[in-house]
Amino acid sequence: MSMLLLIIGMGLCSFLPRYLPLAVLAGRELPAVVETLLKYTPPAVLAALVFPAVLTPSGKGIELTLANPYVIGGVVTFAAGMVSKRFLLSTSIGIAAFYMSRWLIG
Amino acid sequence: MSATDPPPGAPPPTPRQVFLAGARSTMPFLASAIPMGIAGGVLGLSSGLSEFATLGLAMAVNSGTAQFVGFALIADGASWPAIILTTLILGLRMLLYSTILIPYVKEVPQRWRIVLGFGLIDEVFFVAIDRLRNGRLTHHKHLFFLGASGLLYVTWMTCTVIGMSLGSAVPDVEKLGLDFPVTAMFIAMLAIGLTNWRVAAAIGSAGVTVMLAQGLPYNLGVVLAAIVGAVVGAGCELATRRNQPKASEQKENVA
Repeated sequence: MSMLLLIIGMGLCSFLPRYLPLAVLAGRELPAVVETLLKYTPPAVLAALVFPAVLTPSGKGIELTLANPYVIGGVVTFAAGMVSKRFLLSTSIGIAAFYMSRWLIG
Repeated sequence: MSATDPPPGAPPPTPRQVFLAGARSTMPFLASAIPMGIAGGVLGLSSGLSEFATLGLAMAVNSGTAQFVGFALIADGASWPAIILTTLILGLRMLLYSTILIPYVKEVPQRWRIVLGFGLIDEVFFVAIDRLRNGRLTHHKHLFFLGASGLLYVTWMTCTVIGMSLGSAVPDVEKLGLDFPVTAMFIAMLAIGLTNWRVAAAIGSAGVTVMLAQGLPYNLGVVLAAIVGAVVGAGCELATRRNQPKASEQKENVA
């Protein structure tokens, strides 16, 4: 029973931050400064997710070396994305580079 | 990504088309959702939860991070206030997402916003905001969200059940590098959205901040870095605007 309550509580804590702004604030004009801030939030969040995933894949400090396949795969994906501006193409090239370097590094 | 979009001036898409476009947009993420979902099922049972609790928790939080951290805390015997508070802190990033979506959901009925909010995870947000900003998603928006998050949700829960039935026979996700595809997709989105130096400043400052803030608990570093990056990017834009008041902002196209 207490497990059920815990799950319901966790569900609410996960759901409310995603839902409340949509329910309460939608339809209102946001100040220009806030809109400008929100414009740069997605790339900032993506960067905040991506940097640790690439630089500290094992969670044991920064591994900025060619022996880290996440660095190789990440750099290749980024370069392919900058050049091609195509999502699936650059993702596929990057994933291929990642697994190839994993295999080579062993 | 753009091959399936209707040409400009075409008649508005049917509800069915929008729903399917949503499902198609998150299909690439299945490559990671399937192994991660299976791993979640295994992890739940090995953390001492019942099958009912494992699946129930996965269905209730609809967030891989909250689910995995929750399992770990329950296995550690953490107190329920600590577990609830951690889930709430992990949800802070989602607060940013739903706030960004505010200008785009004016015409979405209130009950559909519940569905929108429930399904709003990283992948869904990024595929949707890209289309909303480019004006490629203007009709039946709620059905796009339903397709995009519904596909991932159903897949994740199915894989959770599969993982529970496999028991401990499943390989370690991290050891096999199965976590990289999602990272690669996020990097590709970054590269495609990187159209001017202000975005580069936002990305760079967020990246540096998150690395410096690695010691912070509960993913707070991610939230802090997101705020720093957004402030730096917006600050650069406001500063240039002030210097060149007549500069055109028309070609802006961020992430």
